[in-house]
Amino acid sequence: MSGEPEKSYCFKVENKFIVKSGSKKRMWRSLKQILTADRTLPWPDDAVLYYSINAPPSFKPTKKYSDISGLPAPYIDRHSKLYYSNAEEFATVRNLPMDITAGYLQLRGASTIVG
Amino acid sequence: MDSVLVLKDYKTVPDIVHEYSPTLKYGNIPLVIDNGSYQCRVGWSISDEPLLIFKNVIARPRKDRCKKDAEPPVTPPIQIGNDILNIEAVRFQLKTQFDKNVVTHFEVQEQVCDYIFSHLGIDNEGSVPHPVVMTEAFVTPNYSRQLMSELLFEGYGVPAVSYGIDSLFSFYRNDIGDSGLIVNCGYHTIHIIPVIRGNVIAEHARRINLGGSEIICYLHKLLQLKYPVHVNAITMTRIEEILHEHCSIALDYQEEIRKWVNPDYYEANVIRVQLPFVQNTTSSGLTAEQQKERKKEMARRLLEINARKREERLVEDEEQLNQLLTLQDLIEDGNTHEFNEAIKSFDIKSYADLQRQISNLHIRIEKNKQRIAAAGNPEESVESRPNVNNSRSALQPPTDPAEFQTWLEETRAKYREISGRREARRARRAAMVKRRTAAAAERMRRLLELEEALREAAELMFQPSMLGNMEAGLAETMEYVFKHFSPEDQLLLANNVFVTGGCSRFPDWNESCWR
Repeated sequence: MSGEPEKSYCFKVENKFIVKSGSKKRMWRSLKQILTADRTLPWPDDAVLYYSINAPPSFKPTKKYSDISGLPAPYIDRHSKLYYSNAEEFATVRNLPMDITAGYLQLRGASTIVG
Repeated sequence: MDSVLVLKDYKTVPDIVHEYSPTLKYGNIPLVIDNGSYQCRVGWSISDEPLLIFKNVIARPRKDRCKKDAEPPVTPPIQIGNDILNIEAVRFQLKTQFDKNVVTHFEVQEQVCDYIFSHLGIDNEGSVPHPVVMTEAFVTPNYSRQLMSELLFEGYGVPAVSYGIDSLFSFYRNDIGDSGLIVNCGYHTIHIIPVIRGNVIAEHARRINLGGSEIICYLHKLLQLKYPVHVNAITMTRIEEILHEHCSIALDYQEEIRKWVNPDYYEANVIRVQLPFVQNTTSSGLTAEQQKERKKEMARRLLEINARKREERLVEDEEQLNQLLTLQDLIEDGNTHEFNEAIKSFDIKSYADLQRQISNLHIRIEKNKQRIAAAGNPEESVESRPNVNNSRSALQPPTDPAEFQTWLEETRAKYREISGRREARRARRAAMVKRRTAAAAERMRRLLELEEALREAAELMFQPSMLGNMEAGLAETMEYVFKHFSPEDQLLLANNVFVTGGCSRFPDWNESCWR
């Protein structure tokens, strides 16, 4: 790279310990990869691991809230798939540009490729 | 709440290098590092408060590529934590050593450690001579812990390391007792950890993968969708501020939102936020002088273009006139047949038509010539100003007393008229200025109404389904955890719920948990 003066600290023996200067960029495992690797190790049955304490899936029915106002939404616009709670909101929903409706759906985690 | 909220846009202050006193240096004092995924706090075990508190992020600015090849690329310094004065400017270059709540990127961690030790003023040669107490995520994977130990022992020569869970430390420090249920709301996760008679029941602890960062993101996106005009003004930092200072948890979400349907309730409780007004500086960096110059230049060029056009038209017309004249010559010579052939190509019907066209052309050419002459010396065209009759004699008051009186009256009337006109002119100009700045209008428009968005944001913790997350919410998970205990133990836990972590600072926390 360039010969920039690197800061050096007197309390360190090697200036760059983890990734030595000039060496190739090291790829770090993501948490997901670490967990997958963790899973393959032989663990005793009662071991508590990172992935084993995930919260249980929700058993309650999900409540629907209007995407525009946050009010309880009994209706869904078949066209844009947005939730709305009253006629006034329906008019707004119908007038929203595509990118905004897509944004709302994405925010709700409802934008799937299959649609 | 009628008042409009003005964002404060907090600025960070770069950390100073703290004094490394001999007591610290030779006392083998343990160093406590609360390595959280939002903030890192560092302090000596002998003091009550941490010395360093900074956001656990680094910004590595990109190299300037556009510079010439002659000079070597300058690597801008890496900014860490509080060094980053304007976090929005480097938002896309931010890096953190965390993936969720676990440290995975140890190159960044090393840089953060450098920052920590250097700002504590440690000047020992070759090693950091202090035992380190470091917090980590609940049930951190061994892989991550191993790399952290490697970094601390081998990179810094630390004599000893002890890892611990931040919420358990907090449980202990706050003297909660030996049994209780810890609810730790963090930046990326929420942990629910039961402690019974001094033992952590790890197998029944649960983690919800949702935290402050998700809430901030949600609020950020939601407000940007609601106010697409202000996309750039709605920054993460501002959202964070709004969330930290104005967010609250609804005791009963369903009932709360029912209240908001009522417009009166809405008006009375809505929080309006004023986005900081930014003068639009994109217009140009030119001074008024330069702009005037430019305008003049443009006007001159326009004149030139017009003049050229006129010349061209003149030449064209003259050419056509010549052709028509030759046609006329033809008929005058008695060459009727040739004339008839020729006029077909000129789209002329008869001799009279030809005559008319010729005279028209004459008139046009004459006019054009006049115009060119006028454009040549524009001063002439400007109406010479009527000479203002302000010779000295007019100002001399007449000597006759009667005449003097009328003169005085007239002069006064004139004065009044002139000053009145001036006032009117000034008023008009002031009005124009007011209208022009558009700042006033803009200010009115830059209001955000934060009604339900805030409540929605906080409610995410209880209903992750609002984000498309299929995990159970906080209350449901707590219920789930409770189910694993005997009734006596349930009572022990329920009597002692300890809520900790950044997100737990929302008002009304405890009440809402119990519903």
